[in-house]
Amino acid sequence: MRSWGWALAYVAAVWLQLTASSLFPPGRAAPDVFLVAVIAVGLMRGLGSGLAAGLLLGLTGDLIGGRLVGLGALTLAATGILAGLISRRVFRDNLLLVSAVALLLSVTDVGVYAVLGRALGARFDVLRALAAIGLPVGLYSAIAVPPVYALGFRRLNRRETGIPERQPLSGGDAR
Amino acid sequence: MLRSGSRQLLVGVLAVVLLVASAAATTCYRDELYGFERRVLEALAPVQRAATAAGSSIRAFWASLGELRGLREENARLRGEIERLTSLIPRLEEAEEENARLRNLLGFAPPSELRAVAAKVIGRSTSNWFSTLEVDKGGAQGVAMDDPVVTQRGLVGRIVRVTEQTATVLLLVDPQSGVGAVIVRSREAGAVLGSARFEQTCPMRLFTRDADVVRGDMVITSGLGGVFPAGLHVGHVADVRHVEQGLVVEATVVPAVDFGRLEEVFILCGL
Repeated sequence: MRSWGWALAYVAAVWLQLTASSLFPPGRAAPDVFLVAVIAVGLMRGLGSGLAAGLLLGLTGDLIGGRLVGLGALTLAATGILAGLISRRVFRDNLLLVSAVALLLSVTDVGVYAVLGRALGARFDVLRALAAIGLPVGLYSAIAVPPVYALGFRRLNRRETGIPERQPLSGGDAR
Repeated sequence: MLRSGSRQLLVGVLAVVLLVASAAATTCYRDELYGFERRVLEALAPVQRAATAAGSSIRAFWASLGELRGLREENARLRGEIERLTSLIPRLEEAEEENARLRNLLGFAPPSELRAVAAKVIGRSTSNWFSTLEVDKGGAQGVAMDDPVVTQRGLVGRIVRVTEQTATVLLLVDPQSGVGAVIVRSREAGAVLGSARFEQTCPMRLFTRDADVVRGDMVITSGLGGVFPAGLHVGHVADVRHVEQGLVVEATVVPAVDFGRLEEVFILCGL
């Protein structure tokens, strides 16, 4: 994707996150669009892109939130790296596996954020955070990541790699 | 000279240290924003406004679909309610006059120095971890840090971040929130805290071990702490339990305000 394409995707992610947040009252977990984007980018493009997307979107979310600035960037970057590492083993045509990976990575991201946030002094109940935020956010990601991944991978395939449609995904920039 | 791998590792470690240090320094809202933070928030305000409008339209559409069926019954119920409330007006006017008379007798002066600034909600927290709102009034309109935010129903929260044209409201349910409060019936004092459990209710810690508090009790602000004026409606008690080996009485308070439906609020400036 060209740089303006990435810029457009970034603006779209911010817009979608703001809209999604406005649909849910406080106390109800909203879909984490940034997390969905980072997992999808990591799975599509590998470790380096996952890390970059995690840092950028995490910092954006942190700056909008205004508290624990940097923690979101750290956990999302780690999630991007994990997604990049897993991308070596995920096959494009197995969207169920992509969905399961998204669920697992999202719950892990929430858990790590809760533990680190608590360690830094935030009043988070870690177990409750996993139930109230981790599970719903994980389910949203499990639903949203596969289509984003499939669409993105098809475009990427056509434009950059030239890999035929039915081939499994090779490692991206992780290799 | 460091090898490429070592350099990458060093950069990675430095980045992690920097991010953790930044997070540790910002566990709470600060009194002053950095210049770039202010610019990011100012730039995002119109985007937030548009995104929230889009979200509201989607919510309204779904709600209207669900409400169509019950409209007739609700209409009849509301007519009955109007009649009942209309019959109450003379009694309330009488009570208001009596109240004014008694206040004069006691020499009570309402906090006339407070100025209510009406503000529109232009965004909600993008993070699932924090419960905040963005409003379209800021420093230019006289809004300052810690100003209380209310609606006709009761207390919403307080201002924790101010830019020239916008402000961030920390809601009552946010884990960082804390409000001095009293039970109206028994005058038992305590603190209504934000929910660390990501719920829409707040725990209220009572200051005495054998505190007189029961389900349904109304909770108002006590005025202690200097942030909130006394007498603002906080909510009602939904549950009472003893915690920490029975040493502390904790009540679950359901806020008077429905935070999911907030569109306009009043900021009380000049406290």
